[in-house]
Amino acid sequence: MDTITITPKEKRSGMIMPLVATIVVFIFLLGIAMLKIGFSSRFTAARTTTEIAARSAADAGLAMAMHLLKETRSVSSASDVPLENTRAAFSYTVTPDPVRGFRIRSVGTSDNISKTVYAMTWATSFWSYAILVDDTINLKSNMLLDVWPENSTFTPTIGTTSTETGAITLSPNTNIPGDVVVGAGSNPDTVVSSKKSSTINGDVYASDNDLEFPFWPVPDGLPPIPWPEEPNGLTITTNRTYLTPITFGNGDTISIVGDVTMYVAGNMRLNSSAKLIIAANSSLELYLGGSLIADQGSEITNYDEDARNLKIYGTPTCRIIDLKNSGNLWAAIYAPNADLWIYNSGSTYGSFIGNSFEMKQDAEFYYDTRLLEDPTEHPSFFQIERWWERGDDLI
Amino acid sequence: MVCRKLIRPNKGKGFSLIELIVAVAAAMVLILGMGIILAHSQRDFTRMFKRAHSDVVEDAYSARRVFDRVVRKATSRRCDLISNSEIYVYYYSDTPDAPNRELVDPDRFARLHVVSGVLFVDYGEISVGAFDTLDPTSLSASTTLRLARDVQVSATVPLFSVRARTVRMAMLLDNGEESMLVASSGVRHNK
Repeated sequence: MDTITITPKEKRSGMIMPLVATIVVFIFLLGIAMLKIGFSSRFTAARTTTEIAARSAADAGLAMAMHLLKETRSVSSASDVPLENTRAAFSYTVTPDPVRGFRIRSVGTSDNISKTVYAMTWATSFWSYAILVDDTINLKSNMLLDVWPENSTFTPTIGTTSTETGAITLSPNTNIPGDVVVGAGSNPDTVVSSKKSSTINGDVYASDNDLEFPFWPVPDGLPPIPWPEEPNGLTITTNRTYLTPITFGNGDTISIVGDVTMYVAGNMRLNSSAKLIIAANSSLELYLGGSLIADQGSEITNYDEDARNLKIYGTPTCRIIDLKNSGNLWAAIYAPNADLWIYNSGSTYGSFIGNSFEMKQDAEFYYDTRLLEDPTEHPSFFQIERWWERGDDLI
Repeated sequence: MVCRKLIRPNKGKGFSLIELIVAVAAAMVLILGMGIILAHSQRDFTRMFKRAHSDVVEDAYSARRVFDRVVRKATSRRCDLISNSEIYVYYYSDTPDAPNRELVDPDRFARLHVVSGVLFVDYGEISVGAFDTLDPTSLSASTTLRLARDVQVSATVPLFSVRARTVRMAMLLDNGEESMLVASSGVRHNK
């Protein structure tokens, strides 16, 4: 007799449970994979953000180090300075470079990422420019800009820190043999207004950084001396301070003999046909507390014909330097707040740094390249000469 | 018999048509719901995977990274924007530890350019003393790397632009399935 085995209902195997289990496992695996991809994407994004934050912090540290270097002109360091509104921080050190100037190392960190940037910087003289101003340069028609001595291969550069339209105006037939620099971030095409037939042989470009013009301090220990009532024939051989305005009367001649440093607290005026003579083998460092006005027909004679022998520094209250020299003028001027107006009937040699510069008539302006070799300390600015970063191994 | 007792008595009723329809409908709803969930999961997974690992994303990342590195160490003295999609920048071959002090002018160049929708970067050297009078188109590259594919070059929106010391890159990558706008700007730090 055949036996029929019947499995109880509760012990029968069905399809539903395995099917549901398979689907659940499949969805679970899919979910895990999605989470992993999401996590991977999020991780990449977070890492990129962190890298950017670290890099920004390193750049900020470098900027701060440069700023402090401009102010203190000495080594400095800082560590773990937080970068506002981020989790990043920077540390920097400014050390003397073994060859020249300073070396800056700035490390930006954000979480566990760090970026390191380096810069090498040294002081560059303001007098490496032929003309440099904070505002406008206006060169009249037919003006010639060149270098002195004639055999120099240096090309003179003029510039402004201004970003305003037309800050540099080149009238017709004006020739600039070197570069023209305009304010950082500006459009050179709009800042420089070149009239018909004016030419620029060099490049026209925006400055690397925001140039600041620090005031050059008046040296201590200049004894006050009263200005004589009859200054004609006066020979100045020693350092001194004139606390009152001084005026060279018509036809008066004042000579500088030896190396003299002089501070005039008030205005200084040369009346018509007055003469200021810097004798042979002599030099004058003139600090101006007021304006310098040289009237028509007056004469500033630099006997050695060397701009290094007449350095004129303007203090913050020196607003105008107005020269109507009757002969050639050799001078290096650094007067950040002064408007420089040149009416020379002769040629002008040197370097002029001021608030603005205007050549009032067609004339010749020669940059005196010997200023580049001037060993004495004079106004200068720091700018990054070389920049590099660690980990730059992609290329 | 014991066996007989375990068998449900057959009363000849079976499933009615109604019961069958309801059961099939319930099963259909269940299967359809599961299918939709699975399909959506699969679609989301595929989309997410592409966003994370597609060529567009990887190209965008590498292009931005190389662009930043090249531009940041470039000189601010010169930068030649040949066209909306071609630019030359120049830099010094400094080592990570110290600058090459003998260099007065940049001695290397990088050229970023697009050919048939592909962004390349060319690297090469500049002859000593040639920098000031350099004709960039005469430079020959020693290395060329492909940075990104499927670059959409627009006649109106420049791929590269220069403003003072800043170089900007705005690049649309689109391979038909994924698209991404890559925007980056770098400051040329070197003198």
